[in-house]
Amino acid sequence: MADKQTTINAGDGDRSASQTISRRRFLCGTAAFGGATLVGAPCTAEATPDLEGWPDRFGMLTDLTACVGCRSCERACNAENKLPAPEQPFDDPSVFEQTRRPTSSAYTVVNRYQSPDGKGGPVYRKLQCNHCNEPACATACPARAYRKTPEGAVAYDEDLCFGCRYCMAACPFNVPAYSYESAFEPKIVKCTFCYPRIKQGLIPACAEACPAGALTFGKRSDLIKLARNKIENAPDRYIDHIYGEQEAGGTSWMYLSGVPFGDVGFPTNLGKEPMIDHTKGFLAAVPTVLVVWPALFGMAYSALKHREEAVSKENEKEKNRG
Amino acid sequence: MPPYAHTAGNEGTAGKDQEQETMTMNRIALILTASTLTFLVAAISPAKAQDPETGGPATIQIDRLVGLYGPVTFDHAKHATRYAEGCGDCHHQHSAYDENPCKRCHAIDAAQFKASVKRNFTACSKCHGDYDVEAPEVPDLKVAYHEVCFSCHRKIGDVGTTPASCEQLCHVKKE
Repeated sequence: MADKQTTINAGDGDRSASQTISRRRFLCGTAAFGGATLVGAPCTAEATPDLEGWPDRFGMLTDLTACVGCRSCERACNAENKLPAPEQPFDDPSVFEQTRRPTSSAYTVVNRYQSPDGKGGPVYRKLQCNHCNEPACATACPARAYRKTPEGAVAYDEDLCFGCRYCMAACPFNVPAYSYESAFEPKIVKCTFCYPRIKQGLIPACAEACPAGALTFGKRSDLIKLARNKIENAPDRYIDHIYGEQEAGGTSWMYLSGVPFGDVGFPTNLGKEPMIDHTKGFLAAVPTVLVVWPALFGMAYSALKHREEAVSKENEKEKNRG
Repeated sequence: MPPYAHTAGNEGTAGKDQEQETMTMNRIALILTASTLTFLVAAISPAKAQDPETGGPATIQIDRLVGLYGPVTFDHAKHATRYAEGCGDCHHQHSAYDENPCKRCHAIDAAQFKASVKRNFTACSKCHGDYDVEAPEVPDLKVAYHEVCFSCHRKIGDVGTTPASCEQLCHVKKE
């Protein structure tokens, strides 16, 4: 139970415990949303207000060329979040035989890829929530369980979640995992960016643990400058691209690599627009097509029908007179 | 206000006071310098045998960051004489950073190092201490150590290919 409280705090530091959602509140919210669509309120992304207002938000820079695959980050994450001990110890290299993804018991995983040209050593890629600038999970969530914080973290509040798992479908990086442990208390699990630690002025546990300089935490704007400098100073070492600077509208977590990003499991087809931009037009049209059109056509139909009936009644009257 | 500052009405003894004060200051400065140097020497080569060839320490026990693994015994003499071409291969040139005037005192040159009075470099931890979010380009001590070692060791043995390799060359895991 203590763990749960921590997660709530991680999800939303300033929300009071009394704000847990009830069935009534959720239904009220749904009804309000339905009402809003009826009057054609514009569809706005609740969780992503103007990001230009948060120039000091934090980010992380992963340097794939520096990572040695020691999995210290995984170990630190496990300890920080009080997750169950892994089936295989952290220094067991056999885990690299499979390509893993974050689960409810591991918020971050490191995968190994063979160097694409076959000459270099293995390339390691750390995988966790990228804390998007405009998170698709937050826009997909009907219960507003996700929130982009001014510090850069995408926070999740399990007390608001009712387990629909839309976020899992919406995430372009396939990150949120579902905890199947309890049927009555649904819970999505993902990296919190160590939000409680950031609030205390500490850096995320994984970055603190990394011995190889593969994880650098800082202001996102500073990290972009640092990444550009790294590329400029060692053009042979890096691909000339900062993954996450613009992908899917930009992410807090960014990456430098010496091999093409597509070769080490990064989705390269996301484009520069936030995920919400791909669905905004469609979503805005849904209330019009499903609510306004039926209402308009229904009214026109009933008006026409009424007129027809009136006309036929009059005709009948005339017939009767005649 | 320092305790030795003059107050109005003590004009007559000001000259004497000044002299005494200067002497006291000199003594404090001397003690401070001596203790700083002792600390620096102790931090880098804690009373270890010196390597006659380079003038540097023979071995160094790196134990500032002991956690999961025990201290690392680093054979400085072997690295300095067999592998490195000069001190600057590992001790990076502070002159690379304009804002850091370390090179004025610590030229990274074996001859100058040997000729220097104290024969020691600035402790790595002076700049590479705890990580500062405001300066992400400066690695913390753990990363600084590893980056220097990895600059060669990633190409040796299994270092950088499997997590078990941490124990191959350097680290002894604590039980």
